[in-house]
Amino acid sequence: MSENCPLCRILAVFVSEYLDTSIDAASQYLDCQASQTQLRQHLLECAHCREVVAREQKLRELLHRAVPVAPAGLEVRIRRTITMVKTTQTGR
Amino acid sequence: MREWRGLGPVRVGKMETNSSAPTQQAVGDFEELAMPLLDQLYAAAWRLTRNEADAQDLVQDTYTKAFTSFHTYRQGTNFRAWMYRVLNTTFISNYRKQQRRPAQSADSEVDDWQLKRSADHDPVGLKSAEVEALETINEAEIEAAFAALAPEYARVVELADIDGLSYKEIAQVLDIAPGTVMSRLHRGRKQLRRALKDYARERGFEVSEDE
Repeated sequence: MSENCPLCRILAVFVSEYLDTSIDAASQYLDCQASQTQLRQHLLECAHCREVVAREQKLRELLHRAVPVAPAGLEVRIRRTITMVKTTQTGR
Repeated sequence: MREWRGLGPVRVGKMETNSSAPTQQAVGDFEELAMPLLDQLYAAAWRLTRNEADAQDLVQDTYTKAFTSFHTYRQGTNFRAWMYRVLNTTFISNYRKQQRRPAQSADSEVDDWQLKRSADHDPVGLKSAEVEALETINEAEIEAAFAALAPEYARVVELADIDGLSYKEIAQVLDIAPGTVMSRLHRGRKQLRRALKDYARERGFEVSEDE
């Protein structure tokens, strides 16, 4: 990374938005002074920024480690409740 | 027509003229659309309640309310966002007071000047050794990092990075402006990354201070 490279600095701050392909919206809402196209082009030339992007992707993968799964029986419980609600509403 | 308090401007579609009593077809349609979302909604409920029993109750309440309000859902619109919105509203009305997660005041909104200032001082991101450090972070630490975020930030990060909702969907679910979604997401992700780096640091990994 070059300390003086504005695109390196911008990508460091807005790497998530880059991955969301929402840099152009970030330019509108978050004062990001670059475009998605500019950053994509910059990544072709900057190994440091490619690594920043790779690490951000790794971070996102990690977040999925903590995702719980619905316990067995919950779906049955919900279907039963829906049936009860339907019966109550229709009187059948 | 049954209106659901707090649901906001849920648009009414062609089922509006029907009786609110559900038909067998409506039950089938609802279940076909809603049941594949169960794991996702349960995970979202778990993150809101931080408790398995409460999460199950919240999901059940969500499905019940969604089913009884299903005639207000406009076919062809984003059902997933609609269900998340029902979940969110149900949580706010039923569960928030019981929430055990410690409250942390969030910066209300992030002004552009603040973000610009952070851009001026922001670090480059994680250094290369940090990939290895990140690999060592476990589920409990990720949960703790989320729990330490202000709820407003945690919600948008979860909806975006775990549930995979688009900015537009998040704006619909939380009934906030797209710009607010972006600013909260930006801040929340940054705080989350810092927290995860702290865990890595506690393990003795060398992690940059300049994030």
